[in-house]
Amino acid sequence: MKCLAFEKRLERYLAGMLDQADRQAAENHARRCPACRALVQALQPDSWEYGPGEDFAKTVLARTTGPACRRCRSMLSDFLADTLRDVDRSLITSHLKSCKFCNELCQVVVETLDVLPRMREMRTDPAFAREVTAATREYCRKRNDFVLSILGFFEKLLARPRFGWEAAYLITMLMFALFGTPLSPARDAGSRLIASLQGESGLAVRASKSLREHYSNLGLVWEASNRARQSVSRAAEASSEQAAELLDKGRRCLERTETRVRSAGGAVRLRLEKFIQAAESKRQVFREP
Amino acid sequence: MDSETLLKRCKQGDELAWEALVRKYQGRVYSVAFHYVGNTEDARDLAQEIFVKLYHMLPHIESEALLPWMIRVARNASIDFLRRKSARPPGHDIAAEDMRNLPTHEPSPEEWCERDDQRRLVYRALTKLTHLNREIIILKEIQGMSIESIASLLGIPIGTVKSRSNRARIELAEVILTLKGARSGES
Repeated sequence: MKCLAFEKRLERYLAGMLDQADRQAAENHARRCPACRALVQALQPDSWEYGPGEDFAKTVLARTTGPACRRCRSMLSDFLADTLRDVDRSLITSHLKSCKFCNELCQVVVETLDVLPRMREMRTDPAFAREVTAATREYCRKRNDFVLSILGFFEKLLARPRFGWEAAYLITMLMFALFGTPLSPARDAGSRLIASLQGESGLAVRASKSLREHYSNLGLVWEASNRARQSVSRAAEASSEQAAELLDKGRRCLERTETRVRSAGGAVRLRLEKFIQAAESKRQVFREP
Repeated sequence: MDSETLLKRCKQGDELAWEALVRKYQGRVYSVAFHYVGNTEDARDLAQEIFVKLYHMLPHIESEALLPWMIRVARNASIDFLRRKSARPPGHDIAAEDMRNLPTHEPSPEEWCERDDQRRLVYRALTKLTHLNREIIILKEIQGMSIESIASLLGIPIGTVKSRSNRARIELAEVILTLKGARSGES
C-alpha cells in the first residue's frame, strides 16, 4: 500500500470500518512508514496537546444558559428512582460525570435514603412499656371505679327497707306539686284531658251515626239497583214477545200483500190478453178489404 | 404474635396482649414523637400520652390499619404537643439557607441512644429543614407511609406530596453537605 492509498483509507481505518484485508494492509504500512504513523497518532483524541481543557464547557455555559446543576437537581430523585426516559437519564449521567458538586450530592442522597429507614424505630428504656401499662391500668381502674360507684349507689338505694314507702311518698308529693296547688303548672291538665276525651267521644258517636246512615243509604241503593235490574229484564222479555208478535203480523201482512199482488197481477194479465185479442181482431179487420 | 391477634386480645381486655402490643410498637411511636419534638424527655412523655390515647380508641381500630393509624395519632399528638409548648409555629416555612445559623435543640451526645455519626448528621440536617419538608421526610422516608396516606393526613394534594418529597430529599442532602463542609472546616 502506498501513502496516498493509506491517506484515503485513514478516516475509515480510525473509525474501524475497513475490512480485514485493508486494515491489515494499513497497519503494515503504518508500521513501515514514519510519516503515516505520525499522522495516525496525531489524529487520535488522546494525543491532542492543545485541547479545549476541562473548564471549556463551563466557560461556554457561563456565557450562555448558565450551569445545568439546577436542572440536574430537579431530576435527581427521578434519576435515582429510575423513572426517567433514556434520553434524560443519559444526560443526567453525563452531567454527573463532569460536575463534582452534583455527583457528591447524588451520593449523599443515596446514603441518606439508606440511613433514613433505619431511623424508623428508636430504642426506649426498659421501663417505658411498664409505665405505659401502669398508666392505662390506672385509667381503667378509675373508669371502673366510677361505674361501680354509680351501680353501688343504686343497689344501696333499692336495699333500703322502706324504699317502697319513700318512693310512694315522693311520687305523691310530686303529683301534688304538679297538679294539686293553684300554682301548679299542670293544674287543669286533668279536666282538659277529660273534656278532650269527651269531645273526641262525641266525635266518635257522630262519626258512627253518619257511618250507619251511609250504610243504610248504601242498602237502599242496592235494593233500587236490584229492582231496576229486574224491571230491565222484564222489559227485555216483554220487548222480545212483542217483537215476535210484530214479526208474525208482518209476515201475515206480507202474505196478504203477495196474494193481492198476485190476484191483481192476474187481473191485469187477463185484461192485457183481452186487449191484445181486441187489437188483433181489429188488425185483421183492417187487413181484409 | 401478629398484630391482628394482639389487637383482638387487647379489645377483649387482655392486659398481657396490651403490654406485648406496647413493646412491639414503642420504638415506632417514640421515633415519631422524637423526630417531631426533638428531645428524649418530651418524646418519652408524649409517647406515653399517645399510647394511652390509643388504648382509649382500641375498640374502633381495624387490624389492617393499625400501624398507619398509630402513626397518624402519633403525628397529631406531636403537633398538638408542639403547639402547646409553642416550640415552632405550624406552617412557618423558613428557607433552609436562612436556618443554618439558628440554634438547634438536638440532644447532647450523652442523651443519644445510638452512637451513630451518620444518623446524628442526618438528624441535625432534619432539624434545619422547613416544617412541611421535615414532616414529609419523617412520614415518607423514615416511617415509610404511602403518598396517599400522607396526602390525606396533611390535607394536601397527592401531587404536592410527590413534588415536595423530591425537593425535600435534595434539600436534606444539600444541608448535610453544608454541615459536612462546616464540620471539615472546623476540624
